[in-house]
Amino acid sequence: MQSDVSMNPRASDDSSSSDVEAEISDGDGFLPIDRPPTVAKEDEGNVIHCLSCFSPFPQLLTQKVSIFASVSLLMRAETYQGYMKELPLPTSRGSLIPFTSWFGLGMSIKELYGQPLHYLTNVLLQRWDQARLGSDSEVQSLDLIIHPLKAEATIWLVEEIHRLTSSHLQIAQLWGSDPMYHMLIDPIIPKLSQS
Amino acid sequence: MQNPRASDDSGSSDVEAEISDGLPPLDRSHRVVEDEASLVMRAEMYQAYMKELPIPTNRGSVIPFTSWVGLSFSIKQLYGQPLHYLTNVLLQRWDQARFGSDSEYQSLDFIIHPCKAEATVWLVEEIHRLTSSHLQIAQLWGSDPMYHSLVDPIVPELPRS
Repeated sequence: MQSDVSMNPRASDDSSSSDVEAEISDGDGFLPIDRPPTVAKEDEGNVIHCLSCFSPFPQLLTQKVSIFASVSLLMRAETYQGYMKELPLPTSRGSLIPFTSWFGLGMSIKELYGQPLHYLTNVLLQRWDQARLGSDSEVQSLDLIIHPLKAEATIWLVEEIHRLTSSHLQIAQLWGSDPMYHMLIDPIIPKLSQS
Repeated sequence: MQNPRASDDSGSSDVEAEISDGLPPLDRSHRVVEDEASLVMRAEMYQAYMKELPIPTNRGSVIPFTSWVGLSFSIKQLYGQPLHYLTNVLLQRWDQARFGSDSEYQSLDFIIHPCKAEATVWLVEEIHRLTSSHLQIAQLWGSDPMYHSLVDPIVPELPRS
């Protein structure tokens, strides 16, 4: 049994405002809202889209720019990070997973271990794939450049960093500035491992 | 050891003294934002250099650290090598991502073991050195006015044996 997750962090019911969309819930746990990237009317004044999470503006993040996310986003990020932080990293690893893209490797890993990867990890994997475009070695198979064992080890190392050290405040900010953020959130219901 | 020092371009009085990062100097005489072509050229030279720079093999120090950027300074000093722009960006992001977390005031090396941390830095460094495209780097530089603050001088010191 991969992960011992009995925790079922259902988002607190924030249905006081008629503008808050209903949480999609199938009874198994917290699912990120799967909806088109619109911003609820009540949130419009609260979400500042000045940073794309795909843009490398690390310095901007440290400037005194007022970037804040809506209250509901903060709550969801807190629930999300609270869950991801407790999710134990798999210990039985070391399969040789062939891969031609980082995102593809991420998907194989999720399936193999029945675990979600952190939003920040998914963002990073996508960045790495993006960073290859136009390189000399772009058409080479990625696993000939980076050994599959190293690649998987790297993913789990960065995953650990993201699970253990991320702040839900920062996550909420990133989500708030990325209208498509929900695409990089894995459903956080680990499948039962087929062992 | 390769030492791509910039050619001396001191013709214009408007050219600021270059931080000698080993890349061709920025020509600011026309006071325009760096143009795309020169960015691509500089990124090409940069990436070609970083790609050939061998990842150190003689590792195994345990480096205490309280921030990722701090760890990177120690690593750069210990091994006398620059780290890739993309690595520096990532490490800064990781430090940024901690702000406001429950464990923000814990020492980072109690949460992530120093050996794991260093291993992680070198693994991502390898990815950045071996697989990055200079075109993508030029694009990132072009959209980041402060990019040069995250580009290490690419003149590695002689390793201390």
